[in-house]
Amino acid sequence: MLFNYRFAGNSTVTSTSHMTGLSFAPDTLRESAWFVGKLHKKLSFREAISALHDVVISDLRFKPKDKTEYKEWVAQNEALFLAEYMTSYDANAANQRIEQIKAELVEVREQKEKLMSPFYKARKKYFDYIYEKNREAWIVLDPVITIHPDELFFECFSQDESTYGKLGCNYNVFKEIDDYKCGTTNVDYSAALYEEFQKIRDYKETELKVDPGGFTVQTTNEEQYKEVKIDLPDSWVRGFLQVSSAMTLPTIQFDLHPMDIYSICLLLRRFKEKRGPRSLRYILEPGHPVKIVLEPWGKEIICARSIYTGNAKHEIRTWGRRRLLILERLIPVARKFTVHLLGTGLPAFYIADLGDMSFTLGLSGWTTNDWSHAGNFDLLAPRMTVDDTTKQKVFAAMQKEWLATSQQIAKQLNIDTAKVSGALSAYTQAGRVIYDLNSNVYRLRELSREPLPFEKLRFDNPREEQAAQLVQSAEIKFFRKGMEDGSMQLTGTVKGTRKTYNPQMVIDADEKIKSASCDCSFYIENKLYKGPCEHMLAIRQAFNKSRMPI
Amino acid sequence: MRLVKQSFLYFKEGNSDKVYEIDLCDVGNDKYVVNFRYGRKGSTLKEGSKTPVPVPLAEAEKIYGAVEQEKLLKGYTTSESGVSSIPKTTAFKLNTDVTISTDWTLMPNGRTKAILQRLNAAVLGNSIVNRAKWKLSRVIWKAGEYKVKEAAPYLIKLFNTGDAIHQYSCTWALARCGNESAAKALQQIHNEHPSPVISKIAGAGLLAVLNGPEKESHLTYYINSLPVEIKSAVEANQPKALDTLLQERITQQQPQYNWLESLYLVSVERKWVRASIKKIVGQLQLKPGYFKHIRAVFKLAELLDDFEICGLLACRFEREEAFFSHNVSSGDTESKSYIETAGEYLNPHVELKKKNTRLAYSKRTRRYLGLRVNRHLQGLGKTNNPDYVKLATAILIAYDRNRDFKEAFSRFEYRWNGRTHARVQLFFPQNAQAVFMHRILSGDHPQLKLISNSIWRLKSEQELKGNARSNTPAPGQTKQSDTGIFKKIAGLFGKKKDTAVPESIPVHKQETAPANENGTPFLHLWNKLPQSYIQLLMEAQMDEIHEFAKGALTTHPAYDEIKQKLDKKACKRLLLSSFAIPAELGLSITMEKYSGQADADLVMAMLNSANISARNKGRQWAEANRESYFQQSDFIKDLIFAWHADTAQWAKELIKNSTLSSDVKNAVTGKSVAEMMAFIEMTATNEVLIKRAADTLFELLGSELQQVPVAIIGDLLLHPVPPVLLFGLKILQAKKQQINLQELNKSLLFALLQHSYAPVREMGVSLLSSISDETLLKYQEEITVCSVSSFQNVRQGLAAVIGRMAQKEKAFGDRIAETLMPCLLRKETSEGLHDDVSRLLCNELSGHLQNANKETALNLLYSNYAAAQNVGVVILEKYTDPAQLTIPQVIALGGHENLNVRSWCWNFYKEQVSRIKYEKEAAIKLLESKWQDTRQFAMQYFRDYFTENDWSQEALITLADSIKPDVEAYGRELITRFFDGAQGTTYLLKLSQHPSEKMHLFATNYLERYAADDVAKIESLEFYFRSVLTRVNKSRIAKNRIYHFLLTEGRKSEAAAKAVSGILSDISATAAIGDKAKCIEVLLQLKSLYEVTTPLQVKEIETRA
Repeated sequence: MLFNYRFAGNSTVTSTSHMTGLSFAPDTLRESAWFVGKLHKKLSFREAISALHDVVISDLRFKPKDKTEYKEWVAQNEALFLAEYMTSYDANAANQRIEQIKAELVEVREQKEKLMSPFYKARKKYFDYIYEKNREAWIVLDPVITIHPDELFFECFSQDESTYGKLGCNYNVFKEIDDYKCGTTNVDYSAALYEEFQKIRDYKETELKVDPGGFTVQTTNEEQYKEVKIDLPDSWVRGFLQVSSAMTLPTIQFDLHPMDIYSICLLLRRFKEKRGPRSLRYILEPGHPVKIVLEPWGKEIICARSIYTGNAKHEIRTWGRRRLLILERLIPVARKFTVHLLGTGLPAFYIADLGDMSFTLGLSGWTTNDWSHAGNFDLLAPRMTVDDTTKQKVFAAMQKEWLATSQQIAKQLNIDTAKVSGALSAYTQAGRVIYDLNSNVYRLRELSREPLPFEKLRFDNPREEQAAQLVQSAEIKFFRKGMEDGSMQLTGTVKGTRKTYNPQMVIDADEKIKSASCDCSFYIENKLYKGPCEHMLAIRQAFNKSRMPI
Repeated sequence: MRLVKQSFLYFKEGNSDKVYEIDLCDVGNDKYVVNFRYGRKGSTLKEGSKTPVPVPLAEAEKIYGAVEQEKLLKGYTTSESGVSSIPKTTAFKLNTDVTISTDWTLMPNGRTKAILQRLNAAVLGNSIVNRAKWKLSRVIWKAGEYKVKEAAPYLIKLFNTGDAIHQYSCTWALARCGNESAAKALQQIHNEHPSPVISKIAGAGLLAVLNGPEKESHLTYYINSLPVEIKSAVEANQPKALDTLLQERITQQQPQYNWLESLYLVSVERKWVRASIKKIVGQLQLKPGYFKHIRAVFKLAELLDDFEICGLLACRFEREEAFFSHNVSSGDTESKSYIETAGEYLNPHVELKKKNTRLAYSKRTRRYLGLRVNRHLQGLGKTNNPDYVKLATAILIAYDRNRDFKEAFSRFEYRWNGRTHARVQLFFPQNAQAVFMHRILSGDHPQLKLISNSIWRLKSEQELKGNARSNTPAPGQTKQSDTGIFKKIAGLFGKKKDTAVPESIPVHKQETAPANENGTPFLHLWNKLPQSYIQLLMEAQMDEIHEFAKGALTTHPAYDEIKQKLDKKACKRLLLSSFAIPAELGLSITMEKYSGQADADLVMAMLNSANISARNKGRQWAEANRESYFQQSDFIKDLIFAWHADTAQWAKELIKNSTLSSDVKNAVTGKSVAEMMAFIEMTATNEVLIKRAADTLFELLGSELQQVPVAIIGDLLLHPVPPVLLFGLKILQAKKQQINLQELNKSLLFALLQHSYAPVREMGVSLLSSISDETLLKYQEEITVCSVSSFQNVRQGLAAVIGRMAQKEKAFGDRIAETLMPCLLRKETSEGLHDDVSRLLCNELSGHLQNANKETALNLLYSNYAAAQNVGVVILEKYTDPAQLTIPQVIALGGHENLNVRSWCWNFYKEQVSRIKYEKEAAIKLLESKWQDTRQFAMQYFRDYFTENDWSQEALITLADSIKPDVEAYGRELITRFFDGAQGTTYLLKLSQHPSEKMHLFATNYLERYAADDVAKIESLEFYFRSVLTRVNKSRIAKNRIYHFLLTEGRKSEAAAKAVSGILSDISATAAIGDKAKCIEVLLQLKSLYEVTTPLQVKEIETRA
């Protein structure tokens, strides 16, 4: 998906020994929204915004080692190795020839090196230069700033399409609020900006400004407007929507002491997992301290100061735990962390209470959202059918109010509360409204200038769509069998129109599809090279539904 | 549906009486249809439509017209009578009213008699009595082939008796063997025959038959049929104009080339047109659009016994590949074959019939034409017709060494020798693919074999042995194997053929006919026309042909007589040949005939010969007769323009060492200039020659050249060949003392700078630089334009000139600098432009950049091109008042990607120390630069120039606040160096807020001294304590120091203890056991001293009984 922005110049920070001015350049193509204020809680803000930066740059996907150079070298020298090996057959003549060829080769390579070295040097210099000059290229999507009557919040989503961050600041964070206009806008963001954030001190005045006017101090010859075109992969947008849609679902909620997060980070920093399962297992028993088990080491953290107050026992596993290291900087400034869990393999939310600020870290089920995890809970499935007029009414009310609970809107419009929440969750899925887990309200927030093509984004591929239909319409039976190594085998039948399919799959302890088979033509044709077939996805979805805690 | 147009067509012939009706109807919405009906007149007509879907009017009209035209061509008429206006073959009747007067019965028995006998029988309607039954048309054709004059009346009589092919044959034969008596018949056929092919043949025949004014009027008919421009060129007798016109016409493909045939026929009579025709026939591609005319010309040439054109085309057919090949059998109009040149699947038979066919000259056509030429050739030879030699000569002359030469080669094949497949090396002679050449030169050689009509091969030993065994060579047929070209061929492979071919004694034929050692077919015919050897020597372009001609000529019994006939012109021509053999022969003949009494021009020819000994001989003769030769200015001029470098060098010395009268000198100069003017083409050899001649001229006749009048120099300057133009320029330069260069035409002068020939541009530049400044200043605009010329040498050459002008007149310098600067901000139009302009601005014009203001400088500095940035630096250095720039701007320049800009910034710092100190708050930001070299410079700079007094505490803290590790470390270094005890508290409070671990550790240094005994401070440092203690797995030392500090402080007072326990209570929840233990220890101690709340619960130790 292509996003076009036209920022009012670059975001800048002017920092002197007495004061810091943060000026975010907003997207001028969107309806204007502005905010000018002076920071009050500077250090906490600094730590929080740094954590947000960590979300933006977070990329924990597996990056294989680049072995091309080595392979090139091997290919070059293979003949030599072979020749050396073969010397035992013919002693002198071969040796001489080898020596001769070696000498020639050395000469040729020297010459090549001589000829090519300026090029290599220049190329390296060029890449260094690009790295230096165009660091912004590393950032995927500039953060979104939303100004609401009660708070100002920043949102961002990581490069690896799995981590969501939201920093909400209510107006107590600011001292002198000069002016603001509610709305949402994208802001220009750069690595240099992060460096300047680090210079916020509580003895310096710090002004925060989201202003289309911006500071117009020009030292270099930058353009008045900076036009940016960002081609976001569909999967990125889908990931974002999935995570924010997950927030509207009912959650299991408990508080953690900051030092509990510290303990998790400590274990993660100290140990390295070399095999699966790589999950974080929450064991929640009413009235007992929250117990966290880090697999595969089996290390337990008993959060003695965090008592679970829910009324049912749960055991929930989450993955992608290294993403929690983002919270590290918040430990000294946070009062507590509220954890919202949806269920095993589903997104999880960590809300840091920073007093007048709150930092929400949303984690998708897994760091990598590849097909091996497909077929889990469909977060973008419509929750409730609500007619369009109601939807529009609800949205109009939101536009007026900016933020509201579903009950408030229901009361105001005199519509059934369930319908209102249905409509609002639909808007959440479309990226136009978010649910604020911290204050339990819906907030109006248009992710992009034009509404996203939601229908196009819902499914990754046609098989997912077919699976969703099968789950709704077809008769699905499944049978689960645990295996010795902790994985489980899922077999079942899916009744199609003409034929009954018998998919079967093995899911490992990390909820990854390890192996699978089906008797449908898609599987016969492609095996798993193009991902699982719709029948596998359907029985997996059916099975997962049965596992939902709530 | 509304009828718009309708036409009725009728056809009546014999029993056939039919109608064809076409309608054009409007169906509404601007759509039209074309319908038709047809059938026998009066019956119900069958209907159909030409438009499956309605079409716009224009298209419908087109379809309508096409249908109508098609039917009309088929013979339908618009008149109800039904008789077509288009004449039909059947309708044509030749007036056969002739009397056969020749009595052939008296002729001796032979070919002619037999033909006439058969023709006579045909005319009388008798059945033919001969053994072999021939088709009549074949008899007729043979009559034409042998030009049997007596057959003409029979041909006329027989004309009406057959079909189109028959009539074609008759016409062809008539055209060849007719005399004036046949003219009438041919005229009638030409004028009235419906078939254009036959009529054309008749027309060509008329040219051969007619005489005097009748021929002229017939020729006018052809001239009139030419396109207007060509016609006027032909009528005006302008070979050059015609040539260019034709070139133009063939380079841009025209829809049709019908005029080609007419022009060819014109050229038969108008001899001067012939050169153009030959050229164009040699050039036209054998491709659709051209080929059919080429073929028509070929046929006409054959008809008219025009061997020159025939030979030329025969050679082309052999040398050039077919345009396409296909495998669709003839008559098959269904199946398709992929044709690469058309890029499509096509049925070639259908496609070839189309009007705008995309095909022509198939592989089959090429093969047919090759066979036809060969048949023609062999036919001529077998009938002992001397025309054989003419055709063969024409074909041989058409070969071109540059184009056709191929080395001899060999290749291996596996041959079954009865037991195994043996590896046999097969040898191919030089130019093995030249089928006709080998056939003509050595077609009968026993050791040569033509493979599949496309390549000649030397027979292998085995083949030769087989031959020898099967038929012992008849003494007359065996050729001596180790002479002639065969020796050369065999020598190439170092093979001894002696074993292969049995040694045979050269056959002594009659004294008149020399031995045919090359296996040349029909050598006796060749020997009848020995002048053809001379022609071959002069015109052929292949070594083998020369060898053949020379061998045959020198052994010819009439060689001496022939030699006597060779005049000076012929000798010169031979000498000047670029091939070794003719040149050598030329030399030997010249030496024989002219020894000691050669004319100057002959000596010159020797000097220009490709043969080295000819050149040496020429030198000898020239030196011997120097006195007389040097009286002739032409000779001296020719010496100057000698073709070979060594001769030219020798000639130069010779002329230098001899005294020439001034008259001669002047004449030589004049003639040399004329010679220069005579060059029309720019080729590599010409270029060298002109250059050499020009140098020699300047060296020998420098003063005379200065006398060349200005008008002539002007002509030279307009000459299309660049080196000649350069010569003119050199004269001009040499003459500059005498004439005022100001008078030079301005546009001419600047045109030189745009010239595509580099030396001319250089000359132009050097001319410009020799012009006085005053004049130059008149050319300001042009020079400005040229300073951004797309030619590098002009740009660079003009730099000095511009510099001089700018020095002379400052305003010009300023102006040009201003014009040039924006060009640096745009993408460069030619490579190196930016660099050159930048260099010019930085060096020659560096004194003229003062008008550039700060904004321009910054624009240049931040542009995308290094060249522009460099100019920006110069402006900054020279003209920008440092006071104009703010310190942030300077610092931004310090972060510029161009090193020159950065170093400018560094210099700025070094020079403006006082200002930097004054604005130090802003100035120290240089340390934040993203370029490491700038940061390093800045650190060194501040170390060197800033003393303790220059650093304020704020500045130091700002430094330390950086998150660049090196700057941060530098900050710490400076703080430590300039530490003032009084400010310690501030340092502690401010630095402790830094997010980096190193700074955390650094801040612990101040803890004991500045925070001890102060509860308020401990409270204000709470964030610091917390953030250090919650660093995961980091800052161990700082953590320990803080634990220690907290313990000691907490013990001091209750307030402090409360603050400490508040922090540690939270930290104590850690999972790190060391830290946890420490927290518990501290908390326990504090708890034991003061009333503090801790999360600790002391459990009693269980006592066991």
